[in-house]
Amino acid sequence: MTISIPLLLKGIFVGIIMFFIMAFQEISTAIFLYRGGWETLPIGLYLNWHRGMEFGIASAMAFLMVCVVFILLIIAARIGGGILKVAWGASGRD
Amino acid sequence: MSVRQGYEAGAGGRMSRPRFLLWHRTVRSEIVLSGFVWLVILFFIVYPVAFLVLDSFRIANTGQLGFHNYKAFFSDLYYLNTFLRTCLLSGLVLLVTTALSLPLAYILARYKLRGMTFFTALTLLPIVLPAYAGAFAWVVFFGRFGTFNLLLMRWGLISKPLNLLGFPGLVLMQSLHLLPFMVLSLMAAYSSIDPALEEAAEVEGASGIRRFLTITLPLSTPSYFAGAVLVFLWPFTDWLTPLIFGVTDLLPTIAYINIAYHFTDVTRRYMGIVSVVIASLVCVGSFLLLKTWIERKRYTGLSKGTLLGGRTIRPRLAIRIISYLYVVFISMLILIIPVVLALSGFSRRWVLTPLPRYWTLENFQLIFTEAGRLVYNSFRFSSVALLMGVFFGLLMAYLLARTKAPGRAGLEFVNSLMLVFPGVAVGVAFLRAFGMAMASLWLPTGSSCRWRFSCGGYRIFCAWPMLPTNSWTLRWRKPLKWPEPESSGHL
Repeated sequence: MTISIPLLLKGIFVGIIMFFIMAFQEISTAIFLYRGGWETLPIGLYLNWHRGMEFGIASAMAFLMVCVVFILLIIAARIGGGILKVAWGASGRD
Repeated sequence: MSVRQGYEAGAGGRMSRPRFLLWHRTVRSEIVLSGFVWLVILFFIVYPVAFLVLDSFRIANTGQLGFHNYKAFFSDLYYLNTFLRTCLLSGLVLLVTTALSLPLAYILARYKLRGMTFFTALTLLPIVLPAYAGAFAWVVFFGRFGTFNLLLMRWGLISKPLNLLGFPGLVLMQSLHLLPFMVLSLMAAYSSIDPALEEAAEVEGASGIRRFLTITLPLSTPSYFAGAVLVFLWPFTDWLTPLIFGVTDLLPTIAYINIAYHFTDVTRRYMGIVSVVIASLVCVGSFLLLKTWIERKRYTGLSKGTLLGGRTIRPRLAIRIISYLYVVFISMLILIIPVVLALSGFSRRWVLTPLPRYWTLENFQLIFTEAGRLVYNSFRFSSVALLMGVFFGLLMAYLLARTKAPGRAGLEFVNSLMLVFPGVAVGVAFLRAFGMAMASLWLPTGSSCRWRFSCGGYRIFCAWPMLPTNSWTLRWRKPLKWPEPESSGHL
């Protein structure tokens, strides 16, 4: 317990952040499962772009998401010791 | 000895003592834990997917089962064409990605150049950027009257705007999005090859290109195919990028359109479900092929077994310049995404000019005043998903890495299978399995369906640094309360 947990902590933190990034931009499943009042940012973005033709708003939303992702990524890189190691986790292979 | 073998030996050695002392207790708790995980998998993955598969065999209006839908799908020229076009798209995307990433990975992994860390980071950025964000930016920048075409026309290089959307644009866009996956695989391959092998080739007199073709390339094939399968599968799972590019006759797109827009039309709905199942089958099938192929062809004995820091070369000046130009070119393509999104987001009525004319904060104000709930929802659902993901991810990783619970191979298999399973299929499966009344999705006052879950397999690069296993976990969206049927702002 005293040995594993501190060793793992870094990996877990990076994992949490990467997971959050992936969950944050999820649209494929969400588009089928959302209902009125439950729209997430990607769904709002899709509706604005594709049905509403409000490109400015959609772009603003996308930019907002990119910013969130970017900030999280920098945090992950700080914790995980370099962007490369973090990306290794994100690519899903060992 | 490879890394994996080393780890397994280490883990085994660690295991032997507690198992000897606490035989019964350890084994029983492990079995309970893995049973729990299997139950969750059964409920959230096997049950919905089985529902989906069963649905695809259902014959409309009769209540019987049969291959009727599949026959109809493949005998209808339109749907057959859709399937073939998706295969073609996959092949082309794989080709373009390979062509772009072979030199790129070589430059990034081998050449000792200033600023390569920065470029590596930039090249890998599309992994975390949503694919649709890139597609939006691409449409704004490379559209018929987008910045690119307008500039070319202003400089007199072309007289009519080039069509960079549609199918060819789609190939390029998806290749760009998938580039980092391939680059990562190849970089791993390049840097894990034992330098002694290449040095031996040099001593024997093999030139640069010959050495690359006879030593480096063959040794990197297992990693290459691991990346190639991910790239090949992507067009079978991505429905939104084609939709944005105006290409609808692809499997996932047609599935989305048929199910989301035409669910009352029985034929189209079944065709949609069949296309989802076929796309999933292609994904699972090629994943299985890859797995068996890699099992057979292991070069681990020839590799150093470390992740980074292989052989590095100081190239000649000419090659250095070419490398820089190439890397900068790819980086520019990727940088277009955030830059164009920012330009478009901070401006109003950006049409027919290379750069926006009116700058405004209106769009962001609108988001936060009228659609603040979207932002809030995003964070809320992601957090719930995160909690579930961390819980199951850690549990799964623990079971896989530290225990000898029965059925671990199966767990790992399901885990990595979720990596390639299309999100559309998961969405439809959940909709059919847990959404009792489909219509209630579109009617805010729908009455019968109270539960909505969302399960996408999400990797959690986690845990056990001893074991390079990424856990795929469940994403769960919990209904916090019955949502009131309020209007959703300007949406």
